[in-house]
Amino acid sequence: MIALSLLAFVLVGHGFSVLFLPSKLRSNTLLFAPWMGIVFIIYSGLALNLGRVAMNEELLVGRGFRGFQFIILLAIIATLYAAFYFKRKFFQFKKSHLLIFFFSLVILTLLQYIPIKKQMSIITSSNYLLEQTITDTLLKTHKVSNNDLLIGIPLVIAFLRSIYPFISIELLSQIANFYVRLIIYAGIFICSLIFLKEVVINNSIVIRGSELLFVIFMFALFSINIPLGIITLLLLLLYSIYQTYDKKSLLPLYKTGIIVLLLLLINPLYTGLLLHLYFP
Amino acid sequence: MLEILFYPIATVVLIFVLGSGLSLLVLPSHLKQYALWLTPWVLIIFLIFSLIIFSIFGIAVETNSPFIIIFLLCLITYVLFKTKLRYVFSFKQDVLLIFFVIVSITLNLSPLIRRHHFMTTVSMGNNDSIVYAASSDFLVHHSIRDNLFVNTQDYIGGLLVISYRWGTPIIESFFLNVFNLKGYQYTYVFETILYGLMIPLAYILLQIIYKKKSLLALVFLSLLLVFNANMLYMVYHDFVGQILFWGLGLSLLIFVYSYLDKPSLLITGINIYDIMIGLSLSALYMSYHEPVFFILAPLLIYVVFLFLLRKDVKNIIHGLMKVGLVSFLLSSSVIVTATANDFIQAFNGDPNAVIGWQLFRDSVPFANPVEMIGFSSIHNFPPMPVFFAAILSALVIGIIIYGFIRTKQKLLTFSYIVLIILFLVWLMNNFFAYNRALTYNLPLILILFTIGATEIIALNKKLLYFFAAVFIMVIVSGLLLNKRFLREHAIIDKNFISLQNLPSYIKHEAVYNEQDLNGSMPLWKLIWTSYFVYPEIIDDLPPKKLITNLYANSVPDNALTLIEKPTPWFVPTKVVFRKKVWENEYYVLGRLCNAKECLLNQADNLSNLEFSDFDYEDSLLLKGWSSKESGHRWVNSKEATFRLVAGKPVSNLKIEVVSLQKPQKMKVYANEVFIEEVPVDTSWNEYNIYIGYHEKEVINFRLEFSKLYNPKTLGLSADPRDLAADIRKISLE
Repeated sequence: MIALSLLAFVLVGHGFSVLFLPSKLRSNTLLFAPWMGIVFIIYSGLALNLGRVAMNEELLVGRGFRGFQFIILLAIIATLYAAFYFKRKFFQFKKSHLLIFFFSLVILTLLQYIPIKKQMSIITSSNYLLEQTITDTLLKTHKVSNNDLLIGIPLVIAFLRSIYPFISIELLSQIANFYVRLIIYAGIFICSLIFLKEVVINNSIVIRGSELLFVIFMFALFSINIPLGIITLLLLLLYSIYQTYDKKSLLPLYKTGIIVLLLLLINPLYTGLLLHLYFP
Repeated sequence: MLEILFYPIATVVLIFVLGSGLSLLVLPSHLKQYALWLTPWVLIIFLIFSLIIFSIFGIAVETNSPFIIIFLLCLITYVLFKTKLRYVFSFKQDVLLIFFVIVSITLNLSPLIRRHHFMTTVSMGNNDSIVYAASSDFLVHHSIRDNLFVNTQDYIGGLLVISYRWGTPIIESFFLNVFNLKGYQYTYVFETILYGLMIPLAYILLQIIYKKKSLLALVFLSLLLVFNANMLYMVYHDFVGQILFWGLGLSLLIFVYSYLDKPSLLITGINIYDIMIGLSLSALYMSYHEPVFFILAPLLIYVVFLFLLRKDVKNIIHGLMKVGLVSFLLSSSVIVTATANDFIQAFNGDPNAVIGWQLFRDSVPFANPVEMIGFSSIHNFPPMPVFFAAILSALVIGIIIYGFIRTKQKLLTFSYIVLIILFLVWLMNNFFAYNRALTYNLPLILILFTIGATEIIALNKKLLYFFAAVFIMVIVSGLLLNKRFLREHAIIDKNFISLQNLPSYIKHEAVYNEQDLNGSMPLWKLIWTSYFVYPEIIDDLPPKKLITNLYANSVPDNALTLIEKPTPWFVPTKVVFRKKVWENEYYVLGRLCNAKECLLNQADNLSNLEFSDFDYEDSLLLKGWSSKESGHRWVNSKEATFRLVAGKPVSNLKIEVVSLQKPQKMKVYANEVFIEEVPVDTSWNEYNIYIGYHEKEVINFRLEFSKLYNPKTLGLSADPRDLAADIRKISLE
């Protein structure tokens, strides 16, 4: 199951990695691909969910077009475009990457054998997200809770369940295992820090791929673990204040402003609901 | 009267003032020469986007708009004192454009200027205006986010929650807040302003694809837009979303044509064009997503054509991907909702569905090319003879093709034409869908026609007189539709507006209306009465509890009921009230008398019914009766119930009845006891039926008929109702 999940993340994320990674990091495209895949599934899953299309909901009964197909369609467009635009560079990878993947698989599989209580709420939530949306529930109940909004991981599980309908929910819920979730949090957080470094190094006023990636990864962090999102945001603010003071230039502050603005704008409905929850 | 002049002028001035700094700053350098007439639309795009974002974050327009205004004023100050950016004026061109904008707004406001003399909304028949007016009112004081946490009236929630079409109401709410107006006062006026300000955009697009300036083309195109009957038809039906689309769509085309003509910009990182196009596209998705397909699909066709022609397609794809990325990042959930809705509509919708317009011409309702351009009108004239139509249509198509040949960026324009033709041919089985697809794309068709006509005149100056003569037909068609609009329109008149003065304490109690009593209210009256009587948020609104008893009014006894007073052209609902709570010259609000003890107190008035102005018809006739007519009333069901009040001792029911056709039998039941069966003749007969002794009693009667006859099927009249019998007198003796 872990291997199948990893495969899905790599396939979804590879095109985006090629397109958006800064040139310096492009040699490690394959290593970033699964994280890109997870973050893209979370971002577009949230867009779908708030757009009132559930992950496995059939828009026209018997005639297809389900939520997860929209994600796959976008991933295919990105992959084709990346292949068309970058040609040979599209398939860049090193042997060491395969080794890393192999060891990751072994570790992730071993983690399944450590006894720990299952997180039923995540499984229930992902089940719910297959056919329903938080917007529809919100319109019925007129209430929103922390659990309704922290749906990053359940969305990923719902996506996997939609593309692998032959695999049971119990097996799929391995990804909700405490240790695996911890690794996902850590992975996205570390990627955010890597992109933050790129943002800091970039002295240009122009917004590039690294800024966009940093924003989207930070957004994903907010949807899976709000404290981690806040920590990343604080790191950005601290670093930009330090840079402004150190370089006697307002550019870092300006860029921070743009990044915060982008963070607010990339899914205003979600951000609006989060703000409602914490600042009613 | 002065307000009708003041508010449009104030709106236009405000739009240009607030938008001036922003447009001069953000417009790409290639488009700065058009900054003056792009200003309103740059401002509208900015306002739609920023107001929506604030509103989603929970900040209502009344709170956020002062900050937005201050921000825009700061930009103006910055541009004035810190930059050399200024508008480029072209005296003749700008004067002509100002003239046509004024003519357009004045022409379309003519029902208010000439007939009603106050700010209100009028419609040629469609009821959409309630949606825009009520949602705009709501968004002044509440946010889009608030709407997720409360229950609002259907006409608010439908636009704001179901379809995420926030753009149109939120831009209107900005001006409502500035001018302290209500939605019903401003919706139509605002729509005419949007339409007027769209005309210069069409001329800018013409200049971009024609690569020439021509005052003759300006005059031709403006005339075609000001008087085109197809487009005026949409304006007069209050399709505010579509009017906004014309402006946003033309702005998008201007940006797209300009962008795709700059290969060097396409390959850079995200630039001002990407942001402008991405923002415009987001604003369009958030406002009126249905026609976005007509903007985007041709771009894909364009890429395919480039690919097939083995031209360099890499840069174009890169540019389009950047634009797609920006717009998706800015409005992903809205794009998802819009795409899902469009998908369902396209593949699961009823292809013969009627949209809220009336069909003016039963035969050949589809506009041919002559009627598209406006030389004739499907709304005023009968279909042209086929031969005549074919020749004239061929001429018009010829001029459009010649216009197309004389343009630059032909392949891009060709992609748009291909899609338009495909859709028009595909939709030739449904007037409503055809007319929508046509009117969405009409500005581009008119631009190509104008270029063709201008070029032909350049070849032979004498043809100017011919075209001038032909253009008179466009003006005539437009004016005829306007005249019809002046004559036939629904209006939010002073009677509706007077409902604002209802006592405030009624908010704590359900208020019933004539629709609840007898289902007799036309939709226009029903929705606008609701607008003025009921609150926007219905969480605290006491629910209505309608009665289903065969022998009682649907509205409970003693419930507050609002009834319209009689007018020379309107037969009102006639019910007995326990007491009147409030009344003005148009309405009476009273507590309904529906219980036996109350009815017995009014026995003298309720023991017979002659269908005159003095009867309490609606208190007595209960189920199975058709709409009110003077002096008689049809039963349109096999079963009809009524009640009469016997104050004094009575023993007979007298009933005067006629049937459309024989055989017809009528069974009479009193208090659910079978009394007698009588044959009903095709001439009026009075039946005297013994019902036993009754005194101080409300007697419930039920009539059962053996047949229903349809006058239309029988060839007696065009009346489509199924009818059992007509009754002109009922009494107790």
